[in-house]
Amino acid sequence: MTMHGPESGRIRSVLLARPEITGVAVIVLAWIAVLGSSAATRVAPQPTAMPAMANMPSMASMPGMDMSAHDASLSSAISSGVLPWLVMTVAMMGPAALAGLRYTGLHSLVWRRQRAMAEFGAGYVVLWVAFGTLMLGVLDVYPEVVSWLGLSGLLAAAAAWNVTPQRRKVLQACHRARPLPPHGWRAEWGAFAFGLSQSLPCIGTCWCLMLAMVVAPRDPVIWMGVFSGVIVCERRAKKPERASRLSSLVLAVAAFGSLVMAAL
Amino acid sequence: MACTSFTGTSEFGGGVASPAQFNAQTGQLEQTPHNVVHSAIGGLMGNVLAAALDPIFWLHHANIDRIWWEWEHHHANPADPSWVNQSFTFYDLGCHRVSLHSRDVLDTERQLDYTYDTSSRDIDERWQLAVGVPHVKWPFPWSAHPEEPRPLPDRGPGPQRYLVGASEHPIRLVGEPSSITVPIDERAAQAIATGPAAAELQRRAFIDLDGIDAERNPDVVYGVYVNTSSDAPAGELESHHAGSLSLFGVERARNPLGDEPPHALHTTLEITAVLDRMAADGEWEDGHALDVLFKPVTLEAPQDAPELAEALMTTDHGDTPITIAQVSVWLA
Repeated sequence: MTMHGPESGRIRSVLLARPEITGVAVIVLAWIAVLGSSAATRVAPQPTAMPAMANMPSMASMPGMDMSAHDASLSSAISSGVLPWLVMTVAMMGPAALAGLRYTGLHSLVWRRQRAMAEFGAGYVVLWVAFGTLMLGVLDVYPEVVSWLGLSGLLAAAAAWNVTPQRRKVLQACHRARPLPPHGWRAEWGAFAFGLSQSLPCIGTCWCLMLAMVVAPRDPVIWMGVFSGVIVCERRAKKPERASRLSSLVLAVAAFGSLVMAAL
Repeated sequence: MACTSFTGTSEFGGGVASPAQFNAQTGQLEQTPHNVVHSAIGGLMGNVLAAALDPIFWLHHANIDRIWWEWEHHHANPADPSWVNQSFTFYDLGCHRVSLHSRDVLDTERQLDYTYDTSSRDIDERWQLAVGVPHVKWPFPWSAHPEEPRPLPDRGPGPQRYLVGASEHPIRLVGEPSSITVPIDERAAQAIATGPAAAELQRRAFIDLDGIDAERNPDVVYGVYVNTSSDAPAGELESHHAGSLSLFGVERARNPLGDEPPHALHTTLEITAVLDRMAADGEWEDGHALDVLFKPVTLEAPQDAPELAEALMTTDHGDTPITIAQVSVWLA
């Protein structure tokens, strides 16, 4: 469909000034998919080969997905968990990646902006998918971690990790940018590699929170919202050290609350 | 002084950033003459961690303050509360910590009880000279709007800029003239000139120097020129002069304090007037690429200071290589 007229001109003008808007749209769609499948899961819980994904919004309940053939092999179990993981990664970590997405768009030639941003996004999520695949595999071997006690332990670990100087250095790396090649295969690889370089410190800062979300025995979507808010506030704070201390306090309180739930 | 707006990396005061930082938001005043003079003098002045130990630091910064004072006569400071209410902590003569906000030091006469001995007529004449030549036909594939530039209130983060070309490889400076070619992408330039943002274009052009890094400040200032050679006559060099490159602050940028991440330096130079002159002279008609020349600035001692001339001749500044990861061209 081709748009004409002043309205389409205004939209294109806004997209030129704010190229990350397409990324925002993808993040919103991811959240719609997560919330929709969460509601569907409450109504009709779906079987899964991976206990760690038992309470997660499953691909089977996401609109348009038919996964009626259920295979208990590890590879199919991982694959049936990886796609929901990908959607959840986009929903949760997407807001943290918007600055890098905007940078990529603005520092690319205007006619290849959308492609460059897509390459950045692919580079950003590929490491998260690898991390998620590994994590889900481990949790499938140790399903007992999916509990209030497991959640409490991971939240406490996240609270402690938040205030370490090592994490502070990794968080600083999240704000690093690099010049992007303008043309050819270098440009394509450059945008993808920039996405990789952004996701690595992102995993370094947020791995504990992502693990905690997966082992949450109930209401993972609520935890997703909370953790996503913590990550965004920390990333955008003018004084990140203060924001990290505050988020550490929030996580410590949540860890204590989870411990109480485990004891009940 | 030709900058009509305060906020923006290509504007007088620079972009929005954290206080006490050396990152990508350097404004024109900070770059030239502030950073350039630090590097040109060198020694203690060339090191951000030791510059204040050199007595000339105080004269230099008083001049920076004076330039800002002159600029304020014709332009507006930001009204953004985050700028107006930003606080800075100093030590007074009694070694006591004192905090001041930006709003406390904007009026030198009423708030700080000092002014500068400059007549208003001199300010007007110099400002008129600094505004620049009228715009003429551009070497890009669209027609120019020959409007006179006029003072604008501060409008926030500066004009929306669009990338039209970038170098493919880094350039290394080792104390000798070096140049790099920046291809202009015609498809991008055409898309900007004829696209939805065309009506908002200010017909301004910039060069960005990204990823500027060195182990330390080599105390060499490089003049940056467009489409000329290093052995061109002084008059031609002057008409193709885009700005200056100084690495003052590179040590702090590599090892910053607080939450600022380690980073390379970044400089934005406006080349609108240079391209206008080139277009008026019939140069660069194809508009396919820009040659950007970096030439070390040599200082000349006054004739009645032979010891200074000898000192300048024996000082070796160029041993620390500088790497610039990318040179790019932007339109706004």
